[in-house]
This record gives sequence, structure tokens and C-alpha cells, in this order.
Amino acid sequence: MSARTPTGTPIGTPTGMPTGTPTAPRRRDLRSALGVAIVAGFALLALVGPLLVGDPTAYVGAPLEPPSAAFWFGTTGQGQDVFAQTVVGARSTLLVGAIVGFAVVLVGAVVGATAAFFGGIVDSVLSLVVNVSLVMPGLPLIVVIAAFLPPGPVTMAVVLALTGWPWHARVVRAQVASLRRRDFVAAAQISGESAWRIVLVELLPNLAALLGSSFIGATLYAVGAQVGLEFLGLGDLSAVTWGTNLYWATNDSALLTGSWWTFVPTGLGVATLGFGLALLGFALDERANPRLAARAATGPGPQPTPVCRDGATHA
Amino acid sequence: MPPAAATPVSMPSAAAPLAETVAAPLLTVDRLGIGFPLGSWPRRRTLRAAHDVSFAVRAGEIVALVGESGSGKSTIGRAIARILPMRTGRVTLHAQRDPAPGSSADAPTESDLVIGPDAGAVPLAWRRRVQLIFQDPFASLNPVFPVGHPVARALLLHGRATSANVDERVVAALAAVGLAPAAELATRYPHQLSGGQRQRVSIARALATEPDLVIADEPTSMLDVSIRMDILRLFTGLRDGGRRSVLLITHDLASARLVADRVVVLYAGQVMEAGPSAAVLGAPRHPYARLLAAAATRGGGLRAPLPAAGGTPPVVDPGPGCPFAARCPEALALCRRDDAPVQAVGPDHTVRCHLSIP
Repeated sequence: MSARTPTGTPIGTPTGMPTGTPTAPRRRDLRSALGVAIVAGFALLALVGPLLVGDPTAYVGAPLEPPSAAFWFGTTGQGQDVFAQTVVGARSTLLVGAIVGFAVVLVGAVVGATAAFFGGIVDSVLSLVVNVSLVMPGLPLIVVIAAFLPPGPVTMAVVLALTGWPWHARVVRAQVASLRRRDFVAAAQISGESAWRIVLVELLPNLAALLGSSFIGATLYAVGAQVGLEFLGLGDLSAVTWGTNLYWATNDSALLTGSWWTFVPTGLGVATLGFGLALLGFALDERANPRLAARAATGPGPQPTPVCRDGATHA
Repeated sequence: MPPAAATPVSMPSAAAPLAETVAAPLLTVDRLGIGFPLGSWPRRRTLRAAHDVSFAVRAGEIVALVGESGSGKSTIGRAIARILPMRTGRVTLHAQRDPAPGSSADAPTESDLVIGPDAGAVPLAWRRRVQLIFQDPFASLNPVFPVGHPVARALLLHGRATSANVDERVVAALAAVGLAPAAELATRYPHQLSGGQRQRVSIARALATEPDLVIADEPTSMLDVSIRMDILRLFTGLRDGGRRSVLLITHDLASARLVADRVVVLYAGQVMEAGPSAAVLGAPRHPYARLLAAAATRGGGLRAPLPAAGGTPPVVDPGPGCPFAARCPEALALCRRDDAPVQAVGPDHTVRCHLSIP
């Protein structure tokens, strides 16, 4: 995307906007900065962390050793290093989460924008598909499909993407349907722009903030659903992910034996990542909110001038 | 290469007289009908936005389409601009007999373009020759692009500029509609401009294709009174020495009287009266046109309460008869039963009313 269409440029860079409540923008900045820091930290951990720790599946110590200088997070029921498992598990979990988040938003945006822009029979058919997909109970469907397909990260991504997109399609459809009726779309049509160029160039940049926050939300959903499925044993149990970490912790009766260190690090990882993604999502959401954006961009907003008929008002 | 990038807009003498001989028609609207479905089966109804609308716009002429809110004037404008479908009728955009001296590079053999209800994709030539200026200058510019963007796209799409010289052409086009400093304004975003400036950008975008017909949909109703006059003057300048026609959609009879050569009065999507603006607005013949003129009478507001009953125009599944009959102070039983015929009541002056039958 070119430099002149960054995420919601006119929205995010208000020039000379009246600052109504001086604390609100700063708190918002702090929140989004914290969100960025948390998410970036986990991304870095997933990227380089596995290079710095040993083999997470190696049997390196006695089973269920509590945290110590040798094993910072203790060992599992099989005597594996929990720290290494936590770090390595982040990679697969984050990767699948990000891929699913992207796929879900992409499919949702294409379906939603197509339905709203073309309307008529196209909209009816696509909306029917979306609505049917929405009313199907998500979790049981995920469990059934995941159990049916061979386990692995690809299956996980496909299953979550298949079940996650309809909601985003609906959100994008609603947004595009409202943008569609704006005069600037008609103006582009009258200038002779093609339908696809109108959707991709004129409409999509207006959705950038919405799609960004949708992506964050979808990633959050994918991480949670993926960990949940793997915890239920529906993932690839030979792989090291946050979900399988929790599965093996339960399998090794961590709660009965009181070995909290086998599940708390991974659990905290999921929770902290979710917190960071949520903060990021809220910050983007506020930018995507047209009401907040309008207030930030133009002050109280333009008022249409009352019509003056000849002599009617200056009589 | 066409010489000047943008059409020079000279500050005009308002309502300059037409050429002695009546100019050839540029646009002919023939029995145009527009309808929208309301509700869904089995309670499906039809909103009749325009019915049996016929009028012509001659080359170099400003025609005002007037009527109250909901009379279908904007819808008709949008149908002619091909952003709304029509149900019945035909709209013809006639070839310009003598191509303007500057624009010889394009369209060596221009032919009549005709659209009807079943027209498919809009030919680019129609887009080039017919442009629409929107009522709301705040909604008609994309908020994520600098205001130079729509002008540049229009120039590029119709071969009025190349990617090498598009920037200077955009600046020239913006300067031609009175924006200064144009080079700086071209890089600004819509929310950084005033309403009047934005409307000038919209006009520049419409003029970028060098159209033969500009449809202006209430171009001044959302602007400050103080700049309304400037924009209206810009419109009378649009005709560009008789090469361009303007279809001005307005409910403001004062501006219609000021700039238009001819006026078409609409009610409930039907043409009630059409003719030279002096005749239609000065001595209206149709009861509705008379009421409209009386309601907008000059100086001092209404002289007397209007004799018409209130009510909304019958546009949803209308029955037979004159649509104004329910409000008309002079309605006969006949008016509620039969559609009124169109009568010629003067040179180039027609009225659709039973009462005007001699």
C-alpha cells in the first residue's frame, strides 16, 4: 500500500483537533503502546527463542522437578524442560494464530465486500451462506472437523479459518454497505472507474482500521481456539505447542500432584498474549469507530446550511 | 494532445442569450420511468420515482429541474448519469455536430449514445460526456485520499493526462475552478478543506473529463449563503461559450431563475410544466408551478397562506389521475380519474394539466 494510504491517515493524524479531554488520548496511546510491546515481545520470543533453548522433547531431568537454577520453570512429568517447551510452544501457536487471523479476515473481507458492493442476488446468496455458517454451533463443529482430519498445524489452520470467517464477513459487509452509498463511490463510478478498482482502491483503505482490528481479534480467537483444541487432545500431540503443553500437564496429573509449574507458564503466556492482543485491538477499534474518527478529524462536524429560499429568511 | 488541461472558467454574464437559432439538442429524455421495489413478497410495492418524464437539453443551455423534496429530480439526474437504473423510456445523448476546436484529438466520429432500461455496462464515452456534481461536498470526496486524487483519476481514465504530466494537470484543473493555491490544496485531505473548497474540487473532478453535459444536483444547498453565489456563477461559466450544457437540479427557484435558460417543474416524478424560465417562473400555468412560485415569491415571504392542502406526493403504487390532484386547489373530478395530457401553451412551453385544455 502506498505511503498516502496508511491506516486511516486522516483519522489518525488530526491536525489541530480540539482536545476535548486531555487525558483520553494519552491513556489510549499508553494502552496501544503496551499492547504493541507485549505482542512484539511474544513475536520475538517465537522467532528467536527456539534457537536459544535446548530440545524441548529431550528428557533432561527427573520428572516433576520444581523450578530451580538448572530448570527455571521445572520439569514435566516426563522430565522435559518446561521453560524450553514454553518458549518453543510459542512459535507454532503464534504462527498458526497469525495465519488463521489473516486468512479469516481476508476471506471475510472478500466475501463481505463482494456481497455489499454488488448487492442483489450476489448479496442474497453470500449472506445466506454467511448466516448459515454463523448459526452452526462453532465449537462442536471445530471439534468434529479437527477429529476427522489428520492432526497437525495445517489442519488446525484450515479448521479454524473455515469456522472463523463468517462473523468478519458480516462486519465488513455492513461497513461496505454503508460506504457503498456514500457519494464518493458514485463519483468514482461517474469518473469511469471499474467496480473492482472502486472496491480495492476507493473502499478498502477506508476499512483499513477495521480490518486491522479484525485481524487482531481473529488472531486472538485463533490462539484461544487452537490451545483449547490441543488441550482436548485434538491437535498433533507429538508437536510442542502451548496447547499440547497443557494437554500433557493434565495427562501427567499436574493438578493432583500439585506441580503447578507445568501449566502456569504456558497459561500465563496465553493470557498475557491475549491481553496484549486485546489492548492492540481496542486501540485500533477506537480508530475504526467512525464517530470517534469524525470528531477527531473535523471537530464538532459540519452542519448543513439551512436552505434559504428567496426572501424566506431575510424577510 | 489537447492544449489546455482544464477548461477555463470565465466569470460569465448571467444567463447569456442563446444563439439566435435554436441549438441542436444535446440530451433527449424520452418517457423516462424510474421505480424502486419496496418491501418483499408478498407485500411488494413499487415506489414510482419518475414517470413519463420527457424533456430535452440543448447544447450550451442551462436547464433547471425544480420541484419539492421527493419529486424525483435527483433520481432523474442520477439515472441520466447512469448510476441508477431506469425502468422505461430512453435517454439519448446526441453527437455534437461540430466538435469543439480544442478537442479534436478524441472521438473522431462521435455518434449518438442511447440508453434504455436494458442497457448493460456503461460505455466510457457516456462517462466522459456526462458528469454529475453532488449535493453533499462532504460525502462526495473519499476521506482517505488527498483531493487531487479524484481529479487525477478522472484525467487519467479519459486520456486527459498521462502519468508524467498528471500532477500539473490536476493543479491546472483545480486552479480553473478558483482554488488557490491549487498546488498546495491538491495534496490536502477533504477534511482539511471548507465546504466551498470541496464543492469546487467536485466541480474540478467533473470538468476533468471535459464533459458535454454537467448534471449539478443541488450544488449549493449545503453551502454557506455567502459562497453560494460564487458557486452559482461558476455554473453559469460552465457552459464554456455554448459548448457545454448544464442540468441544474434545485428546489431553490431563485437560483433557477438566476442561471437557467429553461425550467422543468416536477411533482411526484412527473413533469408538470416545462418552458423558458421567464415564462415558467414569471407566469406559471400549472397550479403546482403557481404555488411553487408563490411560495418562493420575492422579498417579504408569502403574501397569503397557500391555498393548497398538505400531504406527500403519491409515489408508492400511485393510481390513475394527476398526482397533484389531492392537493390542487382547482382540481376537478376528472383530475382524479384521468392522467392529464401534455399541452403546449406557448413557444417551447408545455403544461401537463386538464385545466389548461382550451
